[in-house]
Amino acid sequence: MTANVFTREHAIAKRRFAWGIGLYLVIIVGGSYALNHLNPRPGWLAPAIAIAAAVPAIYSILVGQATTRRHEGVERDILYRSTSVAFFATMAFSLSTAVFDSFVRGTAPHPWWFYTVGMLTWLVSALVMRRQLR
Amino acid sequence: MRNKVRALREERNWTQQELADQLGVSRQTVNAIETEKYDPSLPLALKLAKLFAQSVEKMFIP
Repeated sequence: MTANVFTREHAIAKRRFAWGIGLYLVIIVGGSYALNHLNPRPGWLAPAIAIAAAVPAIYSILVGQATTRRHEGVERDILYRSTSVAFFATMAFSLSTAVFDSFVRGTAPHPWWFYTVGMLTWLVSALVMRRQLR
Repeated sequence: MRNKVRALREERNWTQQELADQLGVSRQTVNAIETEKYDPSLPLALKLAKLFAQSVEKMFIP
């Protein structure tokens, strides 16, 4: 594939994104290991690890979003539309589980479910939109 | 929205990738514009018009 401004900047952004996510995983895995093995465990350590992990994760998300936002084209359109679909899917799922839980106590799913629904909807809707525009 | 991007590109014997390179977009974007599945933003439409030395009104027919 020919390298133009678009492909070049996207390649750089992808690399930065991967570094950020990699660092995030290293901090989370290393932090979890430290928390499990330290005895006594200092009270400030868990929040410190959480904050340290959030920095590269937020960096990765911002790099990805900023690069796509800066460029014209279907990629930006797909990002906006799929994000919107995922947002509403997550909202609908949260609302229905919250309503259900208020009628029948103890039925609220694990928080990972909300994340999974949002991410899967985002992924699937982006893939469908990409296929439509191919 | 109907447009004349494909005709104008073919007149110049450019590939979709060559046009994409000049516009600074992906080849998929050029393809989506040509197949009228995607309406370009105003800055991109202006870039196309400038590149083909046409007015936006002549290139894009609502």
